[in-house]
Amino acid sequence: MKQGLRIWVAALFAAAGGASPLLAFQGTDGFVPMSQAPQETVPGGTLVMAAYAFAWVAVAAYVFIVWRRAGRIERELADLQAKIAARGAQAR
Amino acid sequence: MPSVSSSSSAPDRVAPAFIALGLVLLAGAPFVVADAPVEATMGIVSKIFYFHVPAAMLTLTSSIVCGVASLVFLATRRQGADRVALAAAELVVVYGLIVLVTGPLWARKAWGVWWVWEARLVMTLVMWMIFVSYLLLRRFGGPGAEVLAAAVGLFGMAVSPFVYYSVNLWRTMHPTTNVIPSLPASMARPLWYCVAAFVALYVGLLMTRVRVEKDQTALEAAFLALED
Repeated sequence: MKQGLRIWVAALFAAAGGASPLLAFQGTDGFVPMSQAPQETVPGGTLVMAAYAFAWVAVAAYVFIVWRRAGRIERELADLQAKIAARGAQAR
Repeated sequence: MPSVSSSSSAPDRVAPAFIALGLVLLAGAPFVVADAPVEATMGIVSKIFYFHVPAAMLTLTSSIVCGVASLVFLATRRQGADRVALAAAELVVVYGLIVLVTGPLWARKAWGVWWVWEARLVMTLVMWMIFVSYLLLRRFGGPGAEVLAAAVGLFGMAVSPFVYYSVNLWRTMHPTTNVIPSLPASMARPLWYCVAAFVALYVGLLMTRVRVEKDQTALEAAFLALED
C-alpha cells in the first residue's frame, strides 16, 4: 500500500517537474532584459530585395511578351503585304 | 484585293516613350527609396510598401478601366472598347500578381506569417482570380467569348470598391486607407515617385497592348480576305 502511494506521489512530482517550464511560461509577469538581442530569424533586407526583384521581373517579362508579340504581328503583316503585292503583280 | 497597312498614330509613338520612362523611373526607385526613413515598428521590411501600394493602386484602377470598357462594349459593341477591356484585364493580372507576392513577403516579417485569411487579402485574391478567369475565357471561350468576358469584367469592377474599403469596413490586420494621407513628406515623396513609375508603365503597356490587339484583328481579317 505504502509502496503504491510512493509511486503515485513520485509520478505526480515527475509530471509537475515535466510541466514546470510550461507553468513558468504561463505565469510570467515581467520581462527580463537581455544585454544582447538574439539574431533575427527573418531577414527584412532579403525580403525587401525579393519583393523588388519580383516586381522588376514581372514587369520586364510582361514588356518582353508584349514586345515579342507586337514584333511577330508586324512580321506577319509585312509577309502578307508582300503576298498581296505579288498577287497584284501576277494579276496585272 | 485586301489592303494591309500598319499606320503609325500618335498613341503608337507615345506608348514606347511611356514604357521607357516607366522602366527608367523603376530602375531609379531603389535609390529614391533608400533615402526614405525606416518605419518605427516594422523596420526595413516596410520599404516593400513603395512597390506594393503603387501596384495595388493600379490593380484597382485597371479593374475599373476594364469594367467601364466592358460596359461600353456591352452597350455599343464597339471593338475598341473590347480591346481596352482585354488590355486592362491583363494588366490587372500582372499588377495584381506583384501585389499578391510582395504583400506576403512584407507580412512574413511584419505579422510573422506569409498569409492570413482576412478581408483585404482574401478579397484581393478573389478579384485577381476573377480577372484570371476573364483571360481564360478570352483564350479558350471560343466565338462569342468576348461578351461573356465583358460580364466577368463588370463583376470584377464591382468587387474593387469592396477590396478598397474592406480595411475600413472590417477590422483587419492590414493597415487602413488612412495611412497614405497621413504619411510624412519624407515617406510620401518616394511613394509618389514609385506611383509615377508604375503609372507611366501602365499607360505605355495599355496603349501598346491595345495596338497589338488591333493589329492582330486586322491581320486575321486580311488573311481571311486573302483566302477568299
